[in-house]
Amino acid sequence: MTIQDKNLVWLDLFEFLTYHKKVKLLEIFNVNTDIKKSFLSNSKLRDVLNEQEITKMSALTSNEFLDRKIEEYTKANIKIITIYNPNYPDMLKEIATPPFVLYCKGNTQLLNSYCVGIVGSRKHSDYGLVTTKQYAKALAENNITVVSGMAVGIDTIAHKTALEQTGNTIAVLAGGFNHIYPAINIKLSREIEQSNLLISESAPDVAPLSYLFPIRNRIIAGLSHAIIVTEAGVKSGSMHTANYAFDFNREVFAIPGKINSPYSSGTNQLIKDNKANITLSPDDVFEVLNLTKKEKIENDEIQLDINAQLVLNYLNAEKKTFQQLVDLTKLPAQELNAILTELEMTGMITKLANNSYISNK
Amino acid sequence: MLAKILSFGLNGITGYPVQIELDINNGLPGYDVVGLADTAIKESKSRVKAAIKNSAFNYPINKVIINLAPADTKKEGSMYDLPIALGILAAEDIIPNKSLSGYIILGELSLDGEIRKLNGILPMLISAKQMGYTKFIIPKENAVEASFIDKLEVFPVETLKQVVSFLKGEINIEKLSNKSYEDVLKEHNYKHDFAYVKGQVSAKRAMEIAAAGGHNILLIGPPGAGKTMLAKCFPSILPDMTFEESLEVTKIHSVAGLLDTNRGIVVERPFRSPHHTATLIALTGGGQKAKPGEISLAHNGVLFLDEMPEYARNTIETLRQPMEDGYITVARNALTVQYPANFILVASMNPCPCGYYGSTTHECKCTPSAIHKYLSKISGPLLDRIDLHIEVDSINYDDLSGGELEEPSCEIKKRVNKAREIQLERFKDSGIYSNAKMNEKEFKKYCALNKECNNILELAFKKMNLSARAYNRILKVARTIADLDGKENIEKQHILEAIQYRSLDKKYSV
Repeated sequence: MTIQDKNLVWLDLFEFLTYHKKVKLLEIFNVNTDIKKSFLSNSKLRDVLNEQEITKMSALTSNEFLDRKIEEYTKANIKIITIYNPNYPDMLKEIATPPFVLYCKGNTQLLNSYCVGIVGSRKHSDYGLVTTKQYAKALAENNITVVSGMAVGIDTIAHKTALEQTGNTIAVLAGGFNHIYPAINIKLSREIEQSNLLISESAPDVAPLSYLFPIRNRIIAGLSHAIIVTEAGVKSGSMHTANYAFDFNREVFAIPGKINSPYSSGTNQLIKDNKANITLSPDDVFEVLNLTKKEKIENDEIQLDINAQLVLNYLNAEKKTFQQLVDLTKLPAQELNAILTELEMTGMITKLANNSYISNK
Repeated sequence: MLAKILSFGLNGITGYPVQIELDINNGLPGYDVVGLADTAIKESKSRVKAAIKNSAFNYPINKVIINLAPADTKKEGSMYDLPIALGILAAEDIIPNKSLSGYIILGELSLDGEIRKLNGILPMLISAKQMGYTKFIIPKENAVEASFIDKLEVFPVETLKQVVSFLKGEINIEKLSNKSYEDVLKEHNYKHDFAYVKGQVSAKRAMEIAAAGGHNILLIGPPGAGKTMLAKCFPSILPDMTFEESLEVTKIHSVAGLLDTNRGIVVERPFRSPHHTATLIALTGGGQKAKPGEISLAHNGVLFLDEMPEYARNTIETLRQPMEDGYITVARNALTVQYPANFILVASMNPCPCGYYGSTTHECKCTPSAIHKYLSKISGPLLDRIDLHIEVDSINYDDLSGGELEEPSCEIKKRVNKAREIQLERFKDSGIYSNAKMNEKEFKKYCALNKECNNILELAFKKMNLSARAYNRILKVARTIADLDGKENIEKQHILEAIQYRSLDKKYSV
C-alpha cells in the first residue's frame, strides 16, 4: 500500500469528514507525504476543520492504529482501491466527484468491465418484476455487468437475475461492509461477494445513514455506461441515479408504465422530461449503446405436454390467478398444481403474490 | 348414627371414588365438612337443609359431621349435595342404610329438592366403570350423556323425594337404556358445508389433503377472501369420529361444562377458534382448577387461529410442544392434570399488515420491511409444523353470483375416508394414524422416492428458493396425495403438486 493510499484510508476513518472537506484537506496537504505526521503543524488546518475535529483526528495519528485497521480490513477480505490505484475504474474518474476510496469485496476485475445499471423502487408491481428480470437477464447473458444498489425490490431482482444467469453483477452499498443493509439481503451479499463484487465508498464501520444513499447513487451512475430505470415512483431514489446519469452524460433508459400507476410515475416522468430514452425491449439498450447482442442460444426445447402448453398459452397472454386458470382450462386443481410447479421449475413462469402466475416471456 | 355413601370426584378428566362418611352426634346443631372441601361443598349446608325440609323430611337438630375420604385430596363441585342429603336421611333412619350400598350417587340439589345437572358426569362414569362400579344414581338432565356407556345400571332421578322413595323400595325407576353412537351419528349434519363455498378450488383441494393426512394448514389471503368460511367447513370433511374418539372429546367438553345435554355426546369434530387476544392459559389450560384450554377442547378436531400473526408470540409458541406430543400437562399448585390435545391446526393470515399485498383491486400500503416483519412473526419452528401453506384467492363477483352448488362435503369426505383407511392399514402397529405424524423411521420407509421424483425435488430446491425445512413437509404431503390417488408409491405428479403448497417457504416477492 502506497503512502497515498494510506493517507486516504486514514481520512476515511473520520465520518465527519465530508467529501468537500476531504478535497480541501488534500489541497493543503501533500498527499505523497504522511499526512498524519505533519497534521498539527499545517498552518491552514484551521481553515478546513474546527477545533473539535482537530482534537479527534490528532488523537489517532499513530502508525500502529492505521496499520491495525488496514490489517483488520485485509482479514475481512476487503480490498482497498483508491483513486491512485491503476485498477480504479476509469468510468468513475470521469465524474465530478469520484469517490477517493472504493472498499471492495469479491472480484475487483469487474470494476473495469462494461457496466450497465438497473435501478428501481423498493416497492414494485408484477410488471416491474417481470421487466427487471427480462432486462437483467439480457444484460447478464451478454456479459454485461449489472450494477445496482442491493436495496429490496427492483435492485434485488436485478442482482438475483444476474446471479441466476451466472452473469456479472456489482452491488454498490451506501454503508460500510460491517453494516450490510438491508439485513434481509445479507445472504444475497454473501452470494455476490463470492465471484461478483460488492463495493462501498464508506469505510467498513460506517453505518448506513440516510444521507449516504443519494451519494451512493452517483457511483452507480458513474460506473455504468447506461442506467435503466425499470419501475420507480417519482420520489424513488432511482430518480437520483437517473439524474446523476443524465448529468454524467450516460445513457438513461426508462421503461414506460401506465400513466395512472403510482409504481411507474417516476419512469414516466423521466420520459416526459426528455431525460430518458424510452425502451420497449432490451434490444433498444443494445442498439443505443452500439453493442451487439449475442444470438440467443435456444435452450433445448422442453417438450411440454398438451395441458402444460395450454396453461402456458393462457399465461403468455396475461397474468392469471389460479382460479382463472381453473375456469379457463377446466383442469382439476391437483393436475393444475402439478403443471404450474413444473412450469415454475423450468423457469417459464413466476408465481406472484395472491396466488397468481405470470409467464416469464 | 353413622352413614356411608359412595360418590365420585374428578381430577382433570379422570375420576376417583370419594367415600362420604356422615355422623350425627348429640350437641349443638351444626354442619361440619372435613376432607379438603371447597366453598361449593361447604355451602351445601344450606342447600341440603332446605331441600330436606322442602321435601317434607325432618332435618336433625344435632351436630352433623361429614368426612370426604380420601381426606388429603382437594375436592370441589356441587355433586356431593345429593349423597350428603341421603346420608343424613339414612343416619336418621328415614331410609334404610343398607339400600345405599353399591350405588355411586351424584347430584346437586336445589332448595326445593329438585336435582340439578352436573358437569363431568361422563368422565366420572367412565372411570368408575373401569374401576368396576356398576350402579349409579345421577341427575336426570345428565341422563343422555350417561346413556352412551354400556353395561352400567344408571338411575336418572329428578327430585330428592323420588330418590328416597326409590331407595325405600316404594317406587321403581327405570334403568337408563343404552343409546347407540351410530344412531346419533347418522342423525347429525354439519352446519357448514363446502357445497356453499364458491370457487376456491385450490384451497379446497389443499384442505382435502390436510384432512386426508391430518396435516396442519395455513391459509394466506386478503380480507374477505373466505378464509374463515373455508376453515369452518373443514371439520365436515374430516372422517367421522370413532366412538372412543367421541368419548374422549365428550369427557373434556363435559368437564369444561360445554356439553350439549340434549345430545349428551359430542358427535361433531370440535371446531375451536379462540380470539387472538386469548391468553396463554386460555389456550393451554390452567387456572386454579387446571381446567382444559382451547387446545384440549379442540382435541380430535380443529383449532382455528384466525389472523395468526396477531396472536402474542409466546402464546402461539406454546402450541409447539402439544402439537408434537398430542397432549398437554397442566401443573398447578393443587393438582397436575394431563389433557389430550391432538388437533389439526388451521391458521389464517393476511399476506401483509394491510392485507392487500398482491391484490388487483386494492393498493397495498405496506413497506417491504413491514411485510417482512409481519411474515416473520410466525417463527420457523412453528412453520415447521405446518405442512401446507395455501394462498386463497379473493373472490370475484361472477363466482359469487352463480347459482349452482359446489361439490358437497360428504363427497370429499368419502375420498378422505378412503385415504385414511390406507394410512390406518399402513401404520397398523406403530401407534400413529396419519401421515402427518410419521417419525423419521416411518418417513424413510414410506416416503422413498424413485430417481425421477428425486431429480424433480432437487431441481425444485435449486430453482424455487425452498428452505431445507420444506423437504420433509413436501414428502409427507406427497405421501398423502398419493394415498388420495390410491397409489402405493409417490409419483412425479404427487411431488409436483406437493411443492405448490409451500408458498411461505419461497421468498415472498422474489
